[in-house]
Amino acid sequence: MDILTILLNSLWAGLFAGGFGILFTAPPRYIAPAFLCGFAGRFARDVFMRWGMSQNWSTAAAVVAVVLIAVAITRRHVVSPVVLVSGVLPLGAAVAMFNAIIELMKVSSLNGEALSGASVALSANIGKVFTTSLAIALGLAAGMAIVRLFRREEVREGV
Amino acid sequence: MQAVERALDVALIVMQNGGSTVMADRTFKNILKGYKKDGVSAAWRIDFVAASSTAKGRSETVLRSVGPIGVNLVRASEAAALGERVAKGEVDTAALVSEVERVKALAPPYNHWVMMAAAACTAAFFSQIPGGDWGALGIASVAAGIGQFLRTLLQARKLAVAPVTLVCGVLSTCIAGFGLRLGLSQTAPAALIASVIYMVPGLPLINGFVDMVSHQYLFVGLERIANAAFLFLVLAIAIALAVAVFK
Repeated sequence: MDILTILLNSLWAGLFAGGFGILFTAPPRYIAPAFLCGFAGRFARDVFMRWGMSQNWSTAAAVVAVVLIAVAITRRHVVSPVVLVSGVLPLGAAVAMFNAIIELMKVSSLNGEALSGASVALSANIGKVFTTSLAIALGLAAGMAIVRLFRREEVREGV
Repeated sequence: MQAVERALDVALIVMQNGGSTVMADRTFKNILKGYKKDGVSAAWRIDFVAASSTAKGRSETVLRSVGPIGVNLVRASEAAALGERVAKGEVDTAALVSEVERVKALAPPYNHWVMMAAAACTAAFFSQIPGGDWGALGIASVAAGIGQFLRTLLQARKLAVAPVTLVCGVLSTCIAGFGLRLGLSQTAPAALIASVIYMVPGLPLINGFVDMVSHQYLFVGLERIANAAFLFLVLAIAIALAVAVFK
């Protein structure tokens, strides 16, 4: 993946995150941080993958980056769930999640070769959803732990 | 128990409007701090909260239903800020009831048209992430914009989340399927998934992760994730229906 494609994908992810901020009825002051986190998260993940890191470790590292950036750029430096959610969503396995459920609905009505194909696709998509979700949870936990370590006080959480 | 009742009033605003359990519990504790009341513990679930306190050797428990959970982060934010102000002594506990009513009456910061435009743009931008073409961008934006319009109308009638998600999901995916049938896009998965992305339960999903990794709210975190998975299933059924109809 060349750098221009990475930047373009990151831009789409940032705009997507900003739009989701509005859909989540986030106060207007959080829309720009949501855009930045969406952009940075996707950019970090694609850059790490370009450097040879696996997709799951790249996702976990990108989520850590999103948490740190969210804390750094929001007013009062609080951990803002809406910024986190918007920033992390472009890294999620939404497409794999939908594909897995659609394959799950297919397997009940297929036979023979088609059933084998759908079963393989189903298990692959479920595996992708599981590992990506785990990577996101790991990244969130690591990011929050880093923030706690450096601030040496209770991590406050805003909207 | 008046202090506990008031603290639950404010904390439930956080829960009912899309705040995480961590945030609701901190708000609960802040209000109790304002009342100078110690020794109260709360057990949080997605459908109820139980708060217990011991006074003069007697144990008392208050059980409150959480009710339907929506999204209005302005209210959640104001409720959390109110908790902090009460804890610092900036708001008198006598004025708390009127403050709670003020927070409950706060309207969302964006009107229906802005939300509709945001849904259309979000869908359009998302269609490009898995590699959709320009046709997918157009189809997804129109489908999501119209779906969000219907969603607003249905939400105003106080319908439950799952039927609203199913009806709006079917409408959006049918519009997307019609566009694909007309040959406007060659990237069907991107167009179909993007057309319903505005209803993806991102807030419960990430709040669930946040609750789980906090090590204190494992059950409520799991409940939130299960709820999000159910809504994903509803959306996938909507996509499957559109695929079956427009195949």
